[in-house]
Amino acid sequence: MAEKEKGILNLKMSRRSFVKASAATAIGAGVVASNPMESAMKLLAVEDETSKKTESVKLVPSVCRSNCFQSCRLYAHVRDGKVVKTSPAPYLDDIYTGSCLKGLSLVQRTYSPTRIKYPMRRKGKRGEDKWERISWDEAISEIAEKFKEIQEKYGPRAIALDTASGNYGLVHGIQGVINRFANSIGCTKINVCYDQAVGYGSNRVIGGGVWLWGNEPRTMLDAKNIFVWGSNPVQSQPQNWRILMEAKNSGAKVITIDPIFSTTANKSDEYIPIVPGTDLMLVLAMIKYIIDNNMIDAEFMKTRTTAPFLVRKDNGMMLRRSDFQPEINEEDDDYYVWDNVNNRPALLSEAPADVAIEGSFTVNGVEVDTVFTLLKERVQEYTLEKASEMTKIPVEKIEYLTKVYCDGPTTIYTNYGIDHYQNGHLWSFAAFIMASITGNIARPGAGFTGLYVMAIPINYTNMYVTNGNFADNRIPQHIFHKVVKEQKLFDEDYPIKAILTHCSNPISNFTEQNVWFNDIYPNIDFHVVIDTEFTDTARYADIVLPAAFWFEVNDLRVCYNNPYILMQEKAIEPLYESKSDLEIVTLIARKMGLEEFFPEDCDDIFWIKQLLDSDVLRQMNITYERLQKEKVIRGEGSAEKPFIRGENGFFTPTGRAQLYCENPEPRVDYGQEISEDILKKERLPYFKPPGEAWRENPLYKKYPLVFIQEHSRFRTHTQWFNVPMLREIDPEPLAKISREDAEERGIKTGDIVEVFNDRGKAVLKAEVNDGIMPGVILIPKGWQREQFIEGCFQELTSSESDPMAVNFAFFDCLVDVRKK
Amino acid sequence: MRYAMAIDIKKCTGCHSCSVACKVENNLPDDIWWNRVLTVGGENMDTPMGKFPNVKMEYLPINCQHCENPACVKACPVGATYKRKEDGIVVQDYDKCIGCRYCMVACPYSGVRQFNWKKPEYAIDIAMGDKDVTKHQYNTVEKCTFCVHRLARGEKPACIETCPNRARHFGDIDDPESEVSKAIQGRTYFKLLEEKGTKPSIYYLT
Repeated sequence: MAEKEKGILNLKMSRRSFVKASAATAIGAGVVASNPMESAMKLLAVEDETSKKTESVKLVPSVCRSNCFQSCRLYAHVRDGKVVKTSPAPYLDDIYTGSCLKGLSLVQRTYSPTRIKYPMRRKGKRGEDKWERISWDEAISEIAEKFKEIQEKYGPRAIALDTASGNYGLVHGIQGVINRFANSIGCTKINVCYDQAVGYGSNRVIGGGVWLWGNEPRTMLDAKNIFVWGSNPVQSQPQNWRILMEAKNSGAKVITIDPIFSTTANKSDEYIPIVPGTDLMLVLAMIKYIIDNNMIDAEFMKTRTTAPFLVRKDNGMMLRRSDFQPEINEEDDDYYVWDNVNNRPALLSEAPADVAIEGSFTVNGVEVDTVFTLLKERVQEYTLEKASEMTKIPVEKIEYLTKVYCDGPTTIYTNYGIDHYQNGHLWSFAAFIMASITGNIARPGAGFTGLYVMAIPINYTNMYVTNGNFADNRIPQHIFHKVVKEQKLFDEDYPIKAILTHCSNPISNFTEQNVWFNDIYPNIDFHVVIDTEFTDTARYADIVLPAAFWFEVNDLRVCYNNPYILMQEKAIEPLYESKSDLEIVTLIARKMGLEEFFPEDCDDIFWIKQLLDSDVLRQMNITYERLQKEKVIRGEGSAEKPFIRGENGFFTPTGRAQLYCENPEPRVDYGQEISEDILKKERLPYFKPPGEAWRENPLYKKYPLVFIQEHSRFRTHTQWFNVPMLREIDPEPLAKISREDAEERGIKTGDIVEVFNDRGKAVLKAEVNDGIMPGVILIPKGWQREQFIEGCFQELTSSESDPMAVNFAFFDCLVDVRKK
Repeated sequence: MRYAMAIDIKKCTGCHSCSVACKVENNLPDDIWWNRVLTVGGENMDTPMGKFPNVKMEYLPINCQHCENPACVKACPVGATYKRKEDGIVVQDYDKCIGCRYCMVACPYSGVRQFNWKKPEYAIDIAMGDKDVTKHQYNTVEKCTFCVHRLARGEKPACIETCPNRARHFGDIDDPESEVSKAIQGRTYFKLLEEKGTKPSIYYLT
């Protein structure tokens, strides 16, 4: 099929030979329709047919629920009890209405020929893909029995729940009722290490935790410049791209910074290629240039940031009232600043008319510097020349970029490309500082977007709290294999004997795939997977349970990248023998003796009501009744005044953007070692090279290519991996290689190649691609093991993480490639 | 009255949503595509031309051009392909088609006409899309219909409704107030292979 499809769909063509364009400007028409009555008659006929039509097809309000950071509202078109089509359903603010090809192809996921139809038990060896169909009774009894047995023998934490972003429904998905189960049985809930670094870094500056850092996408329309940095929205967030393009068409300058000439770079005003993993150096040099050339927004710094706060030279802590009056209450404590008018120290609450942002002072004998002075000192070593040498961006270009950035409002559109290196959190830490010292934040058209999440006070307590037990969330995904292998977390005994996988495909999405086969499976007894398709993970399970698909349940969604909360209504009954995630979890829980917390009659509507049952929500006029009636409700902001992060203060202890982090703490403390030196250094951003993908790494001589797992249009992570119509367009994995690297190795497009390193390999077809920087190789993410000739893209990646960010660094990976 | 389509190449990101919407709406058999997106650039889909980093690519969505002077109509020995007088749509009557494929040879826009070499096969068990679309037949040529079944109900073609970049416009080119006429107004455009004299109805806005 691959060969034939290539012929049909990917015809090689050049504009010259095929198009022979003859450009002409349209003449303003002025032609009158020959029969003016014709269209009116047609319209009459049309109305007739439309009313007939609506009788046979029902449009059910729905929403796509994968983790592309879009939330496309859809109609499921139901005819004769079947979903026959999906189409974009309108949002109140039309700028957010739309769907991509994935949303439009969901009929083929619903009725997928490879869908898991029945409960299945492994028959052959693990991963051999031999199965026997079993009844739900058998499956649930076996699971409950095994889980209980394991918990009795090894303790409650010996079951590990692995849940991820396969479904953003609040009842059936990652945030849903599965957590009630995990808490009730007090199991291990593996701590998610996907996409944590950017938010971990931004949290130091603007607060809000790992997710609340972005503006509502509509704010891009107010931007003068948009820097697309470490993201490819054309492919990954096409609805955001539509808004970005509208901003561009209204005059915003769009500059894309990326090691790859992405489809977004192709549509931008300017493309700045950058060496992978050096974005941090670029932003540090930009900060230095901004400070050296006095391009700062001093007023913003004085009033909205901690720039004027004073830091003690002796211990690096900020100078507070309590330093001199240790007896005062915490709420009466205050920060010192330097009063410029009276040339003396002052407490912030004294509201001095002008404060120093720069300088070193002595306060009651304590020597201090302003935060800004420390920042300035810190960035001194990051010269344009040094940055240029490292990033391969010419000095003049960095100067130019910085000037454009400061001539705002400028929005940085980012996601998690830079996050996927071990220095990712330092980049966002620095980038948010850069925005704060230039006033490019908390204002219309300024700040960051790419992932906008609303802070909606959903009543999760109603769902998550039962018998007082809570799941243990300390084991991060990146060391999961080590804990399982040793059955220890460092010196602490930590047996793990079973895994329950829900909305997740960890074999394909965790780094360093072979640890599953070498470290995890030899040391666990039992793996249950709940899914709709035989993913890589499902294939290695002991029992696979068929989950109902999105259209087969009711659910609630708080959107990503638009400001809405909406209802997803059940369009059809669960197909085959599938059951909803809620029902599956309830069955297992009840069988394990948790009937009290999982009554039989609590359906998804019950849980939607529970989640919305809160006084705060009622005050916001967000209720089940209103949702039921209107289907979609705006959660914050308005089309006229879209939500701007930080506009009304930042979610930090000081309410200001914090340019200095007094007490850097790791995102998750699982007992890792972090030296005092590192902790001190992390108070301000600094350059840390990528952990592996770095030219000074000795391994670079052996493996000179940085491997990036590009996100494609055709999949979200691993979802849609096997949708027939999408595979007709994009039939197989490709290793995309720069022309220079390909020629050096004698590789041509269509050759079978092996991409390899010490951790593993992927054997697949090569594509010579002129959009790729020499020294970089891409394989699009999401293809499953069986879709490669041998191996898999995820065998190549490393499980090493930065100890502070505790995050998968997918792109921090060196490989080489050879012709097979 | 003559239907036409305008595709804004500046907005098109080559996302294939039009292809997929068409495939679902018309319940196209496996391997049949009426609406394809070609990359004008390197050898493969989504690859640019040039030397890194000075590279560029463009996308060309392509479907039946619904020519004012269609080459296919003249080539068809049985009158299975014809132009509708009332709106200029070039349609294909599967019942009359004898599978000779002369139209495919005559059409200068390679690939917009597709042939059912085998009995139509479908990846899934249910019929997707609209119940009013004509059943696909073995040994017949088929192609974009401008979604005549939707037009008859006053709806726009599926690809117009679903384009996430809102790059596609449709309507009566003879009506200066129509969406397509307005989209073209003041813009430069090209049509495909105009020297062939086919007078296509698809305007590519540049």
